[in-house]
Amino acid sequence: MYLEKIKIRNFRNYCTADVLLAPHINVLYGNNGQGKTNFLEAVSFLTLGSSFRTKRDEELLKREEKGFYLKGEFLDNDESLLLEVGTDLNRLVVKVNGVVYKSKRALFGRVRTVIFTPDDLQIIKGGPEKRREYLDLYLAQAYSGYRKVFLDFYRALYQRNSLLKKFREGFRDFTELEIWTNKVIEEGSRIIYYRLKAVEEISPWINRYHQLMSKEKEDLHGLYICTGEMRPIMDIDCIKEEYKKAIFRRKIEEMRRGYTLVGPHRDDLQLLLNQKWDLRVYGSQGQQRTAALALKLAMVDLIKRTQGVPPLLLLDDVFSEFDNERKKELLRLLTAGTQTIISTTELRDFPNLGSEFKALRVESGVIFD
Amino acid sequence: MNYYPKPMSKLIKELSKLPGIGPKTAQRLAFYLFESSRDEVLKLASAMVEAKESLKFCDLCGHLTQDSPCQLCRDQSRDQQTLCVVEEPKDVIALEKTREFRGKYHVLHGALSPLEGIGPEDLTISKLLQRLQTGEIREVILACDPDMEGEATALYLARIIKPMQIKVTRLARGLPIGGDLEYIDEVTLSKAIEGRQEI
Ligand SMILES: Nc1ncnc2c1ncn2[C@@H]1O[C@H](COP(=O)(O)OP(=O)(O)OP(=O)(O)O)[C@@H](O)[C@H]1O
Ligand SMILES: [Mg+2]
Ligand SMILES: [Zn+2]
Repeated sequence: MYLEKIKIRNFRNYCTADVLLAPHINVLYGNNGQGKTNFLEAVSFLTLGSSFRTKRDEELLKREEKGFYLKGEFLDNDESLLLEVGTDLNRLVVKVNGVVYKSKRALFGRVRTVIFTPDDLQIIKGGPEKRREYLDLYLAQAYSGYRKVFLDFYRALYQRNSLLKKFREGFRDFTELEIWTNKVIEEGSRIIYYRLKAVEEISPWINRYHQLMSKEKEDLHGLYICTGEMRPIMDIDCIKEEYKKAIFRRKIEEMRRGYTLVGPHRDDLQLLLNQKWDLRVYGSQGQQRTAALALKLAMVDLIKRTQGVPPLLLLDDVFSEFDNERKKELLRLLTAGTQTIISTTELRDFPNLGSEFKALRVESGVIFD
Repeated sequence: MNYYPKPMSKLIKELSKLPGIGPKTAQRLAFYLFESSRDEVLKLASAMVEAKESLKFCDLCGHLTQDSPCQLCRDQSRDQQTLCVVEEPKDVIALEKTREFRGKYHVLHGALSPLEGIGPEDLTISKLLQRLQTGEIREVILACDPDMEGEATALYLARIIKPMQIKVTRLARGLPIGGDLEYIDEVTLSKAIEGRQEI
């Protein structure tokens, strides 16, 4: 599945843009502040139903305008897919192949998309929630059951936390607590299972990409860390058992504090250099940057493996902080099999644009072929 | 809203308090009522007042009724040993329409949802337990909604009813009739496989 054509109306600094894309590598070039990131944001808004920069749709609307509209035409052999989203901030219209849906959620998962932006350094440097967000966004695209389990888990978790708050105030109904605890364990165990499985699978890929791109040539591995001294055993029944025990151990404390202390909502993905050293603490700036990119590229492989087709790959400004050697390595990694849209200020980073590449120039919200 | 004369804006305000009615629909309804004949408007108003004043919940089962106990509770020809527990009066209507079930009902008036502050004490659970204590009922069918809160409610009830030596069952979760297997979501499908029956 690749994006053949996109129509943009009043989105960020674009007034009208109708762009044809190549099925392989598209290089979006232009000076700072011309609209490169905005273009990638438009594409990912169509395929994920959300922006990687903001949760507020009004920021996406071109200033002084009343509504924005995006339409993407995707092709896959002889099948085609039409995604549309438009809003005047009061009303939202989402259409998939012309069929109207109520929410932007309907857009998600139809064209799997991996995005890298310079902000992704936060996945490495930020708190555990950044790494959980990373896992959740891509696991929801890699495994068809993940999103439902994820939503169910959080619903059960909020229910249980509300109940625990009442416990803190002295109310006690242990049967009711047990029911919600079981729900949390049931759904939460599945999340942990998916995440363990995924981390085991992507870890070698992360290492490979990291090795190729970083100077230091240290090993990099991912390790999924469960809260509450749970042993990470990759078997759904074992996880349930472990989760149950972990919650039991913290029961008194949970009732005192009024919320759930153990589970996937508090877990972390640890990244270790040479099996031992936390990248967050010991990694150089350069290592941390390449690691962030390696994490994303590994998700391309995971999605390819589970879905049988590569996702759309959006790379915002990947080159800006790499030296020439690493730029060359990255260029080698880009393959024509995966449709890629890559933004850059320096077109000369792409020395010999072959037939696999299509160059698009961006200048104050206008795109030139 | 104060672009309108006061009675109009008042009507719009009241209408928009109704569930599922936004300000735009409220406006449309208000104009519709204004343009209707006085008779029509009175008919509607009196239907609302009459419904409000003559309807109540049955003291026994919690179903909507004019007289308590309700007709369903009084009907001796119904199976007195089977009790079907539902969340809302509209569920009773839905089950009655099928004509499959000939036992008695119990309406909970909701489902457990700590998030919304709904606990066991907010449902008609103690009344249900009282009814079960008489010993007449042999089987309780839990017919809560198939969502997370409904399921939690069913599990909760099962937990407290089972020790009373009463058989507890719940509705089979099947596939929608006329549905194409291919288009049924994974959860429904896996639940259907879980609850498969011998034929
Ligand atoms: N809602 C909006 N309406 C109009 N213009 C906007 C809106 N949001 C952002 N812009 C403008 O878009 C421009 C930035 O675009 P974008 O972030 O895509 O730049 P870029 O090409 O990625 O630049 P850089 O190379 O610096 O990352 C700025 O001029 C900004 O003022
Ligand atoms: Mg940018
Ligand atoms: Zn009754």
